[in-house]
Amino acid sequence: MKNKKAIAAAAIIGLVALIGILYAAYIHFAPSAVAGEKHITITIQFPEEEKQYELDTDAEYLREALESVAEISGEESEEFGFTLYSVDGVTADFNTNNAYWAIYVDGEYGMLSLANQPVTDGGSYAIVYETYEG
Amino acid sequence: MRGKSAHPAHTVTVLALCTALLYSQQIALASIPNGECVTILLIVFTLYFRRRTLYIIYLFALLEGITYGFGIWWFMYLYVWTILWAIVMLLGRQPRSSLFWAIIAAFFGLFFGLLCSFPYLVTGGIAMAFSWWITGIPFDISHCVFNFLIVLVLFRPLDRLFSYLKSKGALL
Repeated sequence: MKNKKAIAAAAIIGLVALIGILYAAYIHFAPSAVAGEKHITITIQFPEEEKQYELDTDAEYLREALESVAEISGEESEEFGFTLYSVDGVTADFNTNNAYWAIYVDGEYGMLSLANQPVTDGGSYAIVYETYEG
Repeated sequence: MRGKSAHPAHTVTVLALCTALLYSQQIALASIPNGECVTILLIVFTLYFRRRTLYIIYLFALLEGITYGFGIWWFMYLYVWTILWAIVMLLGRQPRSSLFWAIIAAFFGLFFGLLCSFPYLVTGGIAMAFSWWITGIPFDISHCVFNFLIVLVLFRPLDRLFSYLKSKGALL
């Protein structure tokens, strides 16, 4: 019985320690937003045309910056945060034609969602309509 | 019924009802970030239904896909709950306390994001999977705490309920 209690106590201590380690990893590795004005470029590549905006913005994340130049709609979910579906009335629907909006940051494929992608001064962001050819 | 194999219609009905319970509570709790009772229910289902819990898991995944769309996340549902099932199958061969399952559920919640990041290894490489996991760590921590509390509180009453139903021959 004592042994079981000791194992349970050790497991709980291990769990709490692991939470601390993971939170430290989050603080260290998660991209952080920068306050203040930034000069950025946003390119929106539709299937048939392309729009480019140069703007000065106080937005900390790309979603807010994109909303200042385009009408967007999407869905909030607990797993993915904000998923972008429509930009200026053009909808990318993965369920019908494998289409989605890809995010590029300084020419590289973005690793974060629109709401989690920090905006940095001089940054170049592209929202590109793409289709997955499986 | 007790001690005999259940009629196939009985088995199908019980599994369908459990899937409906799993699915409906997920929809009901969808507004709470990473708050779910899927973990506690699957632990109890696995302890009582053993291998037949896999029918519930895959039917649940199918219903989730029909509801929310079959995106990349859906592939996570095909294996992440099966991992929990395998853990419970392995550790549930002897009676365990509420605290034991609460700790297991807490670890599962804490690593849920890591487990779910695997499809991104295929679609975007290790950098994408890593950043996806890292940005979701606060949600994993809340998932961990929620799982711990919910299993600690609900495991014993659910276990008693299922034990009673089993003694009456209402389960499989």
